[in-house]
Amino acid sequence: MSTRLRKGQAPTKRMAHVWDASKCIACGACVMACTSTNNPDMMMREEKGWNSIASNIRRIDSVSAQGRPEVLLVQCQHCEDAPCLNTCPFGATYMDDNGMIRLDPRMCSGCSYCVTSCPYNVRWFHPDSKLPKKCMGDTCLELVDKGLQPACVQSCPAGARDYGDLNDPNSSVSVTLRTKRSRRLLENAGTEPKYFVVEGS
Amino acid sequence: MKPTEQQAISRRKFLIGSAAVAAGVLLADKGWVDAQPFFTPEGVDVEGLERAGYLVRHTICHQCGAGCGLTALVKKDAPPSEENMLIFGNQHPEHPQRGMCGRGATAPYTWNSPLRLRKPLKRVGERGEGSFEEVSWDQALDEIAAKVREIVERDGAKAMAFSTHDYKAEMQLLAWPLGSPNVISQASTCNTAGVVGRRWMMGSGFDHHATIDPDYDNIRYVLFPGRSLNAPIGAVHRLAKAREHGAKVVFLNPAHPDVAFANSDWIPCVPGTDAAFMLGVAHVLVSEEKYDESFVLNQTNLPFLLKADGKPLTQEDLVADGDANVFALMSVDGEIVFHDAAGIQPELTYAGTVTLADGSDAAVTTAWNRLVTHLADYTPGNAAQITGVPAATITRVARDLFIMRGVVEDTWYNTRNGNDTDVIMGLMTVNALLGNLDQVGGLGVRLGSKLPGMIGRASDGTVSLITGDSFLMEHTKTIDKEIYPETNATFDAVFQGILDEQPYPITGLMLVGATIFHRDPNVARAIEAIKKLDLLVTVDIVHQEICDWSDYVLPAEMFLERDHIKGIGWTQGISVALQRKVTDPPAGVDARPDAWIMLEILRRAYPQRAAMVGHYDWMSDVATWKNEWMHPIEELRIEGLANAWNRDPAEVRRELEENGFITFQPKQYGLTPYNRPFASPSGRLEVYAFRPVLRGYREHGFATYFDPPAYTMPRAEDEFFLVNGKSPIGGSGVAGLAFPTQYLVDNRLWLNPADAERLGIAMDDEVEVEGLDTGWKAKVNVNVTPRVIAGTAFVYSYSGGHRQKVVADDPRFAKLSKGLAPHWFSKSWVDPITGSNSNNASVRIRRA
Amino acid sequence: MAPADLHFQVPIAHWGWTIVWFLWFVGIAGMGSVGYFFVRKAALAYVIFGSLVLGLAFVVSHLGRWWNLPRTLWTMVTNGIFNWSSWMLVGIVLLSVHLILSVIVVASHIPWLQRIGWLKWTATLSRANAYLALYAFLGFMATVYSGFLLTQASGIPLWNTSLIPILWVVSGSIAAIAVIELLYVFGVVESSVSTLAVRLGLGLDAIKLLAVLAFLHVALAYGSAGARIGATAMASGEYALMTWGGVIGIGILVPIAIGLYTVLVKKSKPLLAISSIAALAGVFFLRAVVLLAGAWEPLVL
Repeated sequence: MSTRLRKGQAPTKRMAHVWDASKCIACGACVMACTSTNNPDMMMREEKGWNSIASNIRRIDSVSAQGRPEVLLVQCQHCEDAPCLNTCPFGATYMDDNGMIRLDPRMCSGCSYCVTSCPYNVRWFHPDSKLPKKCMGDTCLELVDKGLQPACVQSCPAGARDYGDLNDPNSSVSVTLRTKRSRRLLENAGTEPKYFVVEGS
Repeated sequence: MKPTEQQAISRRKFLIGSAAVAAGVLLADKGWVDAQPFFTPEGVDVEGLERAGYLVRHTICHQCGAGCGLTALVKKDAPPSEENMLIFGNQHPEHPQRGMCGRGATAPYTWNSPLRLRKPLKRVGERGEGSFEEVSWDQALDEIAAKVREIVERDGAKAMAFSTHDYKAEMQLLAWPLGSPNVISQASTCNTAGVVGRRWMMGSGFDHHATIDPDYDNIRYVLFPGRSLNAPIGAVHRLAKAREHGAKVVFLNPAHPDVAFANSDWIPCVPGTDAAFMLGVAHVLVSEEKYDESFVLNQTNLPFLLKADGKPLTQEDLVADGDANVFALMSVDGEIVFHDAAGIQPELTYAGTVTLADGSDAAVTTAWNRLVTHLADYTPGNAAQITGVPAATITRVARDLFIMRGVVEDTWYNTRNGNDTDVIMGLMTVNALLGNLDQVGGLGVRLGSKLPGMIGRASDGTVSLITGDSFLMEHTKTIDKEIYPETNATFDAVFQGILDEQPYPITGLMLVGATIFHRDPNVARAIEAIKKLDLLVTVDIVHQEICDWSDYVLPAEMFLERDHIKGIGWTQGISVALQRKVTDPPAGVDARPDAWIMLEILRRAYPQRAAMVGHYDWMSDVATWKNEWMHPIEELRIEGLANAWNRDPAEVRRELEENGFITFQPKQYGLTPYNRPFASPSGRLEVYAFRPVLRGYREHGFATYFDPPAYTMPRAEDEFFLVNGKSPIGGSGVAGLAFPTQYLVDNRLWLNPADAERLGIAMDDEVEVEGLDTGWKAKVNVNVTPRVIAGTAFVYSYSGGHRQKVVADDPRFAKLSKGLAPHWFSKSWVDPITGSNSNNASVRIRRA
Repeated sequence: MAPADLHFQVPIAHWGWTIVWFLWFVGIAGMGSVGYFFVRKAALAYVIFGSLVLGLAFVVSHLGRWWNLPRTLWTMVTNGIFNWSSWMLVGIVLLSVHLILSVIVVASHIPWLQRIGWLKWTATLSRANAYLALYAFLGFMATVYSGFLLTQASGIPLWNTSLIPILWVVSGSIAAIAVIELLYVFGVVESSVSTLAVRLGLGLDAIKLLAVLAFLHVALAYGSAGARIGATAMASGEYALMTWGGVIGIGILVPIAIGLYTVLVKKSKPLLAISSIAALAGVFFLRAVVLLAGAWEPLVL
């Protein structure tokens, strides 16, 4: 298991998600794979707040100012300066040494402060455990703790997803981010998100 | 490239890299700790897994008809449950259709869905009411058999009709021994226009939609007219790679396809005008001399001579006792030559007079000359006026296609507006001019897999099973072919048989995996027909809307629960895949194999006829039947396949089980039509289609644009084209009813912002939609989006308008009943020659 | 046109009516403690204590995993994890200490308790100005906390303004004055105190009116998309009636009108009762609209 960082400690890895908007075909496989991998008990239950399935990935359909149809997939950004980490009154939310924002269920009382303090709106309440769920889910955490790829990356048929260490210059995500134009969401929120949207090949 | 794709694989280690280990960890997480050590970064130890009690099962996804490769892991001797099986995309890098899309991802949701059919149902209320009682299989089959017998004896065997999406052979096991030829698929509401268009230009054997496909691995430029490429996912996967290498992908469509989100160009066009677009492109290619002259001269029939009446000049015209099937060309030496001669050097632009065998003179000209004249009507400016696409875009597409050696994809689902055959002919005209057939990065032609079928019929009416059983059928012409001479299957003919009793009455109907109301246009007429039937039996996986109208509903096994072998389509090489049983049905689901259901009905109605196909009363137990009937047939099919490729059958089976597929032959470029002629009359790509001209269907053989005949053209400002398309999430009869579909697929009506503003309609407003031709009225919420061209409304098919009672009664599925089924509004116009139906419509839209 | 990514916080984060009640009671208790420094009446002490208990009951009942609270606190303490950057943790400590101080103040007012010898120190302590100053300060800080609680929730741009803690203090003060006025109506508080309170209230009402309008104006005119969505819901959307009728009409204009009448014409107990109840309701509505109108910044428009 990966260790919990204390205030002021820097992670040894900075694991990041890359979602390539120029490759995504909006097929929803990652959204569904996330649910069936991490929350199989929610396969036939609605996430009422988002009016969606209980996935850690939100799909947003929109149109650019120039009239181009766009789709955006959003999930926990594993911010380097995560607001949820600052607001959690009991320290249940923490950063691990992979730079991932995680939740210790033992310390969570379900106050929802992490939900209102996340600028990306990526946490949902599990109706039974009342835990604020988000990427990564429990099974994906097991995968990445072993250095493997999470479900969304594995399920993508278009190769639009990747996950890796920003500290490793040779990781596939580092190579992608060096060679392709990318952006981060709500850049000026000061959260230093580690979810990168590749805009063009 | 992901590391998973770089690692070598061995026979015993087919799941590779992180995916394999991931599967191991997943298992551990679900309490399958014992299985975990067998998953390593090098691959999966299948034998070790099996010893430890775990099965690896490759299968073919059947959440839609594309057939992509999936892999499942199941725990041996454990009760069937979602917890005891994991399904993901087949990770073999060489798999021709590897991967899982949004539809495949719904498979575990379907397997134990609350909408899954669990027991045979017998209708107790009125048709359409959705009231049933559960009955035993014996009761259901006995009663159905008695009714079938009554119909056959009263109205004749032909009065029994059968329809399906994918289970034709299974239905033929019942229909043909009964004496009914009428097993009629849904083709006319899907692919008929394309099949006929291809057949007219390339001949039988080259007409199927899964036969001609772009060489995605090497593609440089591909234009998709009317196709959203939401399946098969292997093609999407390969296209994504090609795009990474700089390939340009362009969609021509009234609505923005989901796949176009991925760095693609979307050219919005007015529905039903693709043929004009294609002819506009052809005009630019010809007028700017941007065509492959060698291909045009040697592989198309454009140099062939045509007479003034539009018919080809034949040897019979020129020589006494000449062959009417041998066509004439003018050689560069000024000599008449015949197309079957070797080393022809034809003149492309000849026009003049030739002396016929009877001594008279006849004016002749090359098809090329006629084409140039024909295309004069399709300047980019003219095409722009029809299509709504700017002339500059049409010109740019033509130039890009030529410069980048591109191709135009030949479509799959294309029966939309009634003028669709000309779309296929138009796009194949462009492909002919580009000359990029069967080349690297071109439009590839796939050869047959040589996989023998379970049942077949010779032209003399002899039906043969692969087991050697055979019998003679008296009537072999299906009812649709009696009406539509060129069709591959027009189900509308069955409705005509029921309602008009023409050309003869149909009184009984059996459906397997056929979602009539979400597949066939004009639902009101379908209901009228269904009400008149003496018997309607539906065999399906989940409770489709048609079930509510059926006298008996029988639960069938889904793909996760059965074994089958089939060829892989939409690929370049020749591959066959194995669908292996992953699990038993979930607890409480008493599902049976489709073929067994058909054979049992036959046996209970006519035991002797069942014996003709090798089915006997001692096979009423499903397990026995699988061992004694089904398994030997599948073995014979594998044996036939192995023999055809000079392989050992045991080895073929082992390889299929280990990898899920075998590629018997990789892509061989430059074969068709260069060394292997097409099956058209001339053996060439017939830009000027001889077949419809020679058979008197058409005055000339070129693609032509004409206004869609399938619906009243929208004229008033509140009148719209209504088009539909498939989502890569819920775009199939089964996936459309999956729980996540209702959240991930938009079932609102799409309207362009300009139209919405004009009509005072805002986002999510409720509108009333009224079919101009059918008068059907429905209410729906609107998505105001530029994803649809102005003047057109769009809905995803299968994802809305489900009116079955079980959906209405289950709050978890309530959203499925919202939205529209596009077929409420389309009138079911059928082309009298091709039998191609049309799913688009025109509607009036008002604020509710 | 509505943004493609439009989400209000209540359906997702569930910061709904229970939190509104919590914020309201904390405001009454918090600024009531400041009032208690000046008006040391038993009834006021009871109101403060009651409000605190009810406020805490509401907030604990809101916790999705309230049953896990002991384990949470135990794990926190045993692991030495104290996230002082969280205003909620600060608030928990403030409210806990304030509750203890409040119990002492209440005890000092209960005669039969004071008859118990070893509890007499409560009365002694409660008479000490230093103690009551601390009590007032903690009450004040608890009110401030309840404002920063929202300010720190950086997912909801409408709340990310320093105006909220100030608005909460001003409106909390108005609530405290309303309670004191009610105590006057019931004859607990002297008329002179009431008169002073009415004048003070008038000034606070004016400031509150300015603050509410400034809050709306800044969010509507200069705020981010998320702030505008929230402010629009308050000003002209779903919560407009509550904003203009509840917060401003009932909560500010009615008390101002009655306050002016009281100062300029004459003092009327029934009118003061109406004014006080209206002011308390306005404070409640203010917390409700601000909370319920909270929406996320749309990630795409």
